[in-house]
Amino acid sequence: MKGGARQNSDHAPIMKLRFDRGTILLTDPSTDLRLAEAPGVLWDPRVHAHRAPASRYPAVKRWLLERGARFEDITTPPRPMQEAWSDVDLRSYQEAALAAWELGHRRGVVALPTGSGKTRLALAAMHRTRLSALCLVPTRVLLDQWVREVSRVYRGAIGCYGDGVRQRAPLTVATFESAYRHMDQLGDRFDLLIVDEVHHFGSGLRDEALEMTVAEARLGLTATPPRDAGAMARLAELMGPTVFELAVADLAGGFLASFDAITLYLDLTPAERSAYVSLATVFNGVYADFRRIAPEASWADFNHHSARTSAGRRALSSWRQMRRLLALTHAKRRALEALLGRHRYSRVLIFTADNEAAYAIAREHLVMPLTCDIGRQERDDVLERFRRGDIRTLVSARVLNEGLDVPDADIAVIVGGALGEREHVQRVGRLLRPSEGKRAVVYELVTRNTIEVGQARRRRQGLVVRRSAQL
Amino acid sequence: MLSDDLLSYSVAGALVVPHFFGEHDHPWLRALLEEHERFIGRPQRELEARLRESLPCQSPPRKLRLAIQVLSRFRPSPRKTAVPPRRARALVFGEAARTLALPQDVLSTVAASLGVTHADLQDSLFGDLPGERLVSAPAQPFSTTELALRSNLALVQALLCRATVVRIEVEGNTRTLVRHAKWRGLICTVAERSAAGATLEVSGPFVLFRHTRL
Repeated sequence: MKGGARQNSDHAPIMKLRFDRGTILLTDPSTDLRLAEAPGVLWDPRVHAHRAPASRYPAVKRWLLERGARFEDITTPPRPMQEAWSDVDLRSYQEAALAAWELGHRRGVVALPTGSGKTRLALAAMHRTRLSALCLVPTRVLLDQWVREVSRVYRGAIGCYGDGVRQRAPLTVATFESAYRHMDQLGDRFDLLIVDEVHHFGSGLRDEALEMTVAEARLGLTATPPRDAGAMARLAELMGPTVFELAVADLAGGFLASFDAITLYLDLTPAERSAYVSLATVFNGVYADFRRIAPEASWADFNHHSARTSAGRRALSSWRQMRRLLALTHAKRRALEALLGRHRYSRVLIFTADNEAAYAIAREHLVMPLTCDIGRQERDDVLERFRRGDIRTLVSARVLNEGLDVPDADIAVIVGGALGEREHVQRVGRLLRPSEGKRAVVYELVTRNTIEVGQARRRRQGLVVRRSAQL
Repeated sequence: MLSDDLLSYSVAGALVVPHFFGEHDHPWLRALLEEHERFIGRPQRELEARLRESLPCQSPPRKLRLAIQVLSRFRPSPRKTAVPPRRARALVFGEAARTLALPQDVLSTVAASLGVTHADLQDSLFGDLPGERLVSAPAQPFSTTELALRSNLALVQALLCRATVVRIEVEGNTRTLVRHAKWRGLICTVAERSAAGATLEVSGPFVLFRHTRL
């Protein structure tokens, strides 16, 4: 029985709260209790009982206690062993972030740049609250990484869900995918929910995983909180509001390495320009017509609308061809060659818009590509060789953006990007692990008088100063 | 599970109407099969690049994407290479980082050390990647009708996977079905009962709150 629930003092049937596959089932209520008024509770005619999403459990329980209701509560999750914890030291800004989260009633999102120690912050939250905790991470690589990090400060058993493993413990790490599949069994076993790269939630995809747990304390971590109002509101509902936020510029030169951002504006060859102009003419005509009809519509709306007509499909095809043309132009190839020559003794990460460009660069300059096509074991080997300095340059489209423990690098060359501000912040973050006297350099290759100019301007917005705490 | 942009259907009130593949789709399905056949033995990436462009005849985009997806279930055959690709990559990229020599010189050095030609080594570098695998023919010849039927099956399976409630008309004993639904943690209710059997409704606990498969 959980704290706060009253004991049964007579022989009348007592109401029971039961966790049922991500929901809370309320059975045998007293007749004077209007359960349909409780937060999130609905009558379920299929089982003739009231039911609420598990995430509403704390609110339902408070509602019942305020009305003096007697009920048999769900089982309390086992707590981690207190004596198994080692101290977790934090930097000043991490302390401030944790304090903001505590003041926000242990609910909310903390936004800190890549490399600034978000995992450390999560460990401190687990340690200081002493609650049973479920940590969700997006990839299997991060699963291993988090289990390793937790085991450095906690000597007890650590649970793991993902990569074929299903072990539960008071401190458990799970991939998003496993959480989605198994939250119906895990949802009542934890008091604290920690979600790494929490920006993956809030858009509907797998949001239910966060609704299926009773955990009242919730901490979301991200380097790139969503800016879209709908996603922000949904994330606030699932995890709490953004309670603390720092951007790269807030920490660079202190807790993160300083860096220079250099944009190289390049030209198309006459043949490339001619092809680009033809494609842009086809695309721009259709797109301008669409914007006139629906000025507020999104890119997804345009895609949907265009797929219905042959002119629209031609426009989309032109758009794709423009992107392919710009992905690796003649000038970008030459600029890259010069940059690789100049930084031949540095550790360099090259980022491209797509795998095709990554492989073209890999063949041309004999640099190792890290793409989704390269198997996990080989990726680990490559990263280890990069760490040792046996390989000094890697080229990737998306794999290096997040979810991999990428060793320290000094130079980034952004040949192309497809995902905007979020992707840019993640990529730059790969260079910012601080070391004595380090000054990283980020080169952006941008083609003049093309769509890339606007894209580059927009993606840089993610790096501006954002020092804030919202409580 | 198939992504939403592959599913062709319309919604009429509470009814989802799948846009099934029929005889009217046969001309473009035939064109698609011909393109696939033309690329047999060539790298998968070449076929993918071709299919990003339009077919010689009109084809509904979503249906075309689904048919391509169904065709892609014939796994391309791995390519035989002179050097195992992973080994080739480890040696070539390691040598390139170690010596800082020109790419051609690096390839020649590694090729000589392995006793293969420069071209063989280059061919081996990415020979195992999905795009480099060779498009293969189905075990048995594949007709337009067969492709339409398989695409319809994929469409129905995908829509069923997205269902929040499934209504099943059962003749005879319903016990096994009910037991299995409950074993999966689903709620099974009898909507109607008749002399011949019953109509069951199967759904998950969470469907009370939102459209979900959970």
